[in-house]
Amino acid sequence: MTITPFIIMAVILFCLGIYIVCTRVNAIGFLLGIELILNAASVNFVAFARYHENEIGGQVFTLFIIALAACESVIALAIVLGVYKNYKSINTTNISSMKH
Amino acid sequence: METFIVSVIFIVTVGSACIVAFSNNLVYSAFALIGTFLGVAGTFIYLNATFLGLVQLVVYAGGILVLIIFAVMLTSKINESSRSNPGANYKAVVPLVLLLVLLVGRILTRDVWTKDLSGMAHEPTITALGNLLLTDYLLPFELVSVVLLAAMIGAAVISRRKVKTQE
Repeated sequence: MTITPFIIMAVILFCLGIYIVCTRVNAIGFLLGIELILNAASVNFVAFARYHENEIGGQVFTLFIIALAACESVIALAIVLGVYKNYKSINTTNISSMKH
Repeated sequence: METFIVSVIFIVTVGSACIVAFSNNLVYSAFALIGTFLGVAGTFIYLNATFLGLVQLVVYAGGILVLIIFAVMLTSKINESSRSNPGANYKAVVPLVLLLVLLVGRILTRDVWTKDLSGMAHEPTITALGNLLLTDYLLPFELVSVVLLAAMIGAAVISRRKVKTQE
C-alpha cells in the first residue's frame, strides 16, 4: 500500500471544498467548504511525513493547521451571528454593505 | 485487510464530503461533516500519526462541529431548512471537474510515490513531536498560542451585546 489513495482523497476533498466556496450562498455552508480545504491540506502533510519516514515536521504543521482552523471558525461564526442579528439572513447575496 | 481498511476510510471520507457539497439542507451538510472528520482522523491514525488523529477527533468533531451546528440552529429557520443551503453559479463546476481529472490522472499515471508503507516501523511519534515543538518550532508554537488568545477575545468582542450605560 502506497500513499497514492490518500493523495487522491486529498485532491477530491480539496476540489469539493473549492466547489462549495464557489457555489454556496449560505455563509455557514461556505465555512464548511473552507474546513474541507484545510482537512485536505493536513491529509497531504501527514501523508508525506509518513512517506519520508523520520520527518515529523509535517505532523507539526498539521497541528498548527488544526489550531488555526479552530481560530478561523470561531471568528467566522461570531461574524456570521453578528450579521444575522443585523440582516436577519446569512445569504451572502443579501449582504451588500459593510456598514448597517 | 489493509486494502479493506483504506477503502473504508476513503469511501466514508469522500462520500460524506459529497453530501456536504451537494445537499440542499444545511443541517444535513453540517452533520455529514462528522463523517469527513472521522475519516480524516482514521487516515491520520493509519499513517502513524495517532496523536494527530486524537487531536483531530477532539478539536474538529468535538469542538468545531458543535460550534457549527449551534450556529446553523441559531440562524436558519426550521420551515426553510430543506432549501437552506442553495447553490448558485454552477458554471464553476466545469473548470473544477477539469482540475480534478487532471490532478488525479497525473497522480495515477506518473508513478512517483512508489515506496511501500507496510514495511515501515510503527513507532509512536508523540515524543518527537513534543521535542520538535519546544525546539525547532518554538516561535510558531508561541505565535499560535497568541493567535488563539486573540481569536478568543475577538469572538467575545464581536458577539457581545451593547450594554447601555446609565447617564
